[in-house]
Amino acid sequence: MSYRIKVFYRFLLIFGIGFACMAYLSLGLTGLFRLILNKAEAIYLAAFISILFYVFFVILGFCIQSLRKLTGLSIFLCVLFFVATRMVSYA
Amino acid sequence: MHKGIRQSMAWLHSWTGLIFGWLVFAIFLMGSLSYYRHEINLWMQPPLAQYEIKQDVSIKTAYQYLQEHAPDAKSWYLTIATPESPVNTMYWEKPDGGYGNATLDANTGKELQLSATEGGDFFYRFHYQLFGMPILIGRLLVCIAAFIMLIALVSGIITHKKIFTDFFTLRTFKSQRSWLDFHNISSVVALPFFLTITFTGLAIFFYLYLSWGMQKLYPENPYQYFTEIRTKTVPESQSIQPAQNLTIEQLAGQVQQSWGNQTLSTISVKNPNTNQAQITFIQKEDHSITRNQAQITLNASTGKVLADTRNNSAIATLNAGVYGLHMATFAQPLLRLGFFFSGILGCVMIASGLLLWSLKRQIQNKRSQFHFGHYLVDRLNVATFVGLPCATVAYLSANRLFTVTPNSINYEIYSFFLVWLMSLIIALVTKKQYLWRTQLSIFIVLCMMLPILNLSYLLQHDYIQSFNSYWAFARIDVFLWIFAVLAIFIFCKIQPIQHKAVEKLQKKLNKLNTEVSS
Repeated sequence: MSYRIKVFYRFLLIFGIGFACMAYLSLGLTGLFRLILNKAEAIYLAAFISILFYVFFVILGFCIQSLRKLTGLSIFLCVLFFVATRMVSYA
Repeated sequence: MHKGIRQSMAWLHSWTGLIFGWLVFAIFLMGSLSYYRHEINLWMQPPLAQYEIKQDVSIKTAYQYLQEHAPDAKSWYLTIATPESPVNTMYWEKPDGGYGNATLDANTGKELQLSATEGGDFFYRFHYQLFGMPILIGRLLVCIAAFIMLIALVSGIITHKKIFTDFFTLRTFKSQRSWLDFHNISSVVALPFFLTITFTGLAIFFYLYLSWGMQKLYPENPYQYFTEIRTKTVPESQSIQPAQNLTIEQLAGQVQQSWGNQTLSTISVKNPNTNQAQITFIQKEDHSITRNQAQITLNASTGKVLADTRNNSAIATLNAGVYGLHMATFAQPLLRLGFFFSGILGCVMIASGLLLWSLKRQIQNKRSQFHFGHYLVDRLNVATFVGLPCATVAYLSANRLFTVTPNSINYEIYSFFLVWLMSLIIALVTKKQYLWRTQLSIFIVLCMMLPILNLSYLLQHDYIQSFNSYWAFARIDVFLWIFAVLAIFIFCKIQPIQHKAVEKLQKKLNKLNTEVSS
């Protein structure tokens, strides 16, 4: 694979799957926080944490050298958050 | 990807900075100007600067207008005239769910027929939703830019091995190192400001890109979220029936008994002219970063003081703090000035970073062949870093040269974009060695001419009676002079940096040629 395709793939993976992770994390946390907080507060706190997670994910994504490891980690996190979201019945 | 973390971060920092640098620069510049949008509004609407505001009269005339024009509305929201913004602005929710709004003369209560200028609000709106595109798209683009900025900031911090040493190092006017030092210093000085303003901006608009939670929990009306994060919702115990409310003099008198003569910022009325009418008075003075001004809520039918309806939970306070920190409504003049210059430092940081990117690649370019990418970056740099300030001054100048009416085209906005476009065209056809000097000269001339044009306009229309009446306009002119002096400084000093870079490039090429020929 040429360098440019690799870079493009990395960008797509980090920003695309990272966004999906953030969205699922936000939904999952909203469901979780809803157990102890009011609706509006649960939504806000979940979004706040999810944005911080996205920043961390992007930075981490550019630190991991191996594209295979990065792909594995991204898909694993995305599936994990999706399942967690389903478990709190907010998917 | 690069092997070391620091190298990877440097790569990420350069490319994210390059792709979104120009847009982030525009957002930072417009955002910085927004700190003084009320002052710019006054500058662009000279008749308003002559208004004398009496709070009790303002409240009375606005209340009367709402009683006459929207007696059956679901709610009223009134921003009371102040010396900084001497008009009453209001909106109300109609029974059918639509909204009405009006801007009134605070003394007479009549609708204002002033120039249709957008004033400082143009800069304010531009910084969060851009211009000439659907609002949603504009806001999402700004969110993406803010996110990229945040990534660039964090990666920039990780890149710096010696951030503390770099802070005290400034090698002025010495080729590439100078841009790097300018970039480091401007970044480090206001780093907390950049991190705060970028993150809070991103968090304010979370509902645009993380709307699923709101849709899930409020399927019928996702925007109910905003009501609940601000106020405690109390279920209405009885049905809403029309009822006579107390007069505004009686209600305001009761507030005065509790607070004395305090300046008010807003008045909102829920279910006006009913048995469940609630009127909330909010003070202007805000000493908190969480927009926690003192407020009183009264039953508008009985005058009874009601319990505080504000949501004071930790998360709601966090939300208010995010808004408060970004809007800086708490900032007194000196702090506001500090925020303004921090924003300008943000512009310097972005500009020096992009100039560094460009210069570095020129020096690294071993063949002296034409490179379209470098050519384009150079031209876009000048068209943004000098062209946009020129467009801003042109926007202000157009206000003094043309009269904008609701039925005519907005000459001010046309001038803004026309000058910006002209700057790009001039940059595209100008030789590199004249690029900065040409555009800086235009900016300096515009900045120096505008205060003179302003003074002659004000004298011609009799807007100046004393130094005090002139100061409302002169304070903007002072900033123009400051930026003109700054531009003259750059005009004189940019040449040595460019010369050093060319020398370095020449030496490198000569060395290469010698090696090839031997």
